[in-house]
Amino acid sequence: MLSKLIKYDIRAGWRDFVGTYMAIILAVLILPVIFKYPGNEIADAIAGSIAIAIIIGTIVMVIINLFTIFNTNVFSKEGYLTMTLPVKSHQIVISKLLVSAMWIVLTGIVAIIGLIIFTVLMNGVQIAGFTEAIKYMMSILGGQSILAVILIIIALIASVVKEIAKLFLACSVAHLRQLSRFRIPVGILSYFAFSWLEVAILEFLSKIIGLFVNSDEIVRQINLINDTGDIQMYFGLFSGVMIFGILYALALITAYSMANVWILNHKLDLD
Amino acid sequence: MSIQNSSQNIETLYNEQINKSNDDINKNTELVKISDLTKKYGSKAALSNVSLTLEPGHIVGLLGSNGSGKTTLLKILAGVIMDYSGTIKINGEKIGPSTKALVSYLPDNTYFSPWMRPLDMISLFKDFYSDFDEQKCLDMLKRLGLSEKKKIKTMSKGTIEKFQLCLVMSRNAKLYILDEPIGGVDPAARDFIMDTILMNYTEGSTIFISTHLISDVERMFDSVFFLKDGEVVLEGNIDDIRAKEGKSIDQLFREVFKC
Repeated sequence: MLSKLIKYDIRAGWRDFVGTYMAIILAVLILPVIFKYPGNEIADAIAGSIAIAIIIGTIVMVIINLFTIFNTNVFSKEGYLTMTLPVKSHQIVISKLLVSAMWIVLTGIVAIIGLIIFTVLMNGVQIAGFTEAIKYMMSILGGQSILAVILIIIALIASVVKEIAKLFLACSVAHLRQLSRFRIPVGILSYFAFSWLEVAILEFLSKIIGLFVNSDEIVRQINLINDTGDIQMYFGLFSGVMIFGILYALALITAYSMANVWILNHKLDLD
Repeated sequence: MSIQNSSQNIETLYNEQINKSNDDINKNTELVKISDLTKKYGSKAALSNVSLTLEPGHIVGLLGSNGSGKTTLLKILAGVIMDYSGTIKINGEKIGPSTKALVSYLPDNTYFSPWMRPLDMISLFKDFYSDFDEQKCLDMLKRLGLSEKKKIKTMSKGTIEKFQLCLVMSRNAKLYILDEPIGGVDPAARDFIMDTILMNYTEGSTIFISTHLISDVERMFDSVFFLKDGEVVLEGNIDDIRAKEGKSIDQLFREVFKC
């Protein structure tokens, strides 16, 4: 049933998202044509700012769109279809999270491609220039560069999916019947309350970890790395921090999703 | 062990077997069992200690004026309201995926997404409901004169409602829950809807219909429940009620729900 839910969730959203991606590519193709004044730094700066604004705006729009899809699909009239399907609530939540993660990754890829196209067209940079730059960065980072990149990408995705899971839960809290008169402020406040809770838990965990780990030793290590300039020494610490961050994000995704499932199973009340 | 104790043990075992048989019999005759169902919105009780039983193979009317709690009761049975007190069992199971697989629900509003076409909905129903009869649905679409590839949002409101009914009645469900299927439609459409319901429901299934338009549907019902201010005020076999009260259900409704 989960695969069927994923199929229909993708079908429900692909028109909007693919349309958005095509708009980004069109914009980064048109901007250099409008703003191409060789040697004019102001024009370059304006064009660059607009391109970045378009991409950031698109990412924000995608996140808002994902929230709207969840809200509409579960709590509006479409909820009469979704919530009467013979599937478990956790399957509905997992499906929406997985599909959201997919759209976020695709949006990231399209944004990077858009930036590359814009840079190539605007400044005449060759594609080969990008590959050389990437090779140079990899050589600085050394043998563990691929692992570092993978960890960064996974951490980024986990972090964004965690925000989406938090948004979904805030949406469900806002739809509790007891709070229906104050839906929008409750939704917003819930989101910020969960964010505060995340930080509070992280601080608590840091204090717990501090009881077992000698923080002076960590500071000494960091100073040693700074003094010697040996980037590869970073990796042990870097990997540890990244992995901790990924696990923390996964734990929060699980917690938010379980809370969401509990609300759907016990407090659902469609208008 | 003494003879007296042995006799008592045998009697206990016998009574347990009898009770188990009775439970099995009751389970077989009770498709829906609702006990002490209460649903409150703030201080107002939309449903108050409602208890009722539905048996398989009946067409049952849930009658009441606007605001009597009919839609709330049906939404709880369908699983789109989960915040209530009391117990509900459908085919011996609590409300969940297994009961949703047995229940075909027609809400009092349409639930289609703007991007959908009839073909998309038919595909969705086919994927999720093993009891969905695709050919039956396509035949009904044809009778409606609808193209399965035309976007649902381009159809008129009445046509969309009819299509939604076709989807619901194309399932071979154990329980059909229809919330005000003829509310807000013209008399010709009402006849179409009633004929669709009667011609396409599965023998041995139960249809639970809520309505306040009694005269149009009275002829269909085997039994009725009158719901007033969230409470069941009258229930029973329709012929027995008519014989006892000496009037039609429509006349009785007007008396019970007189403003």
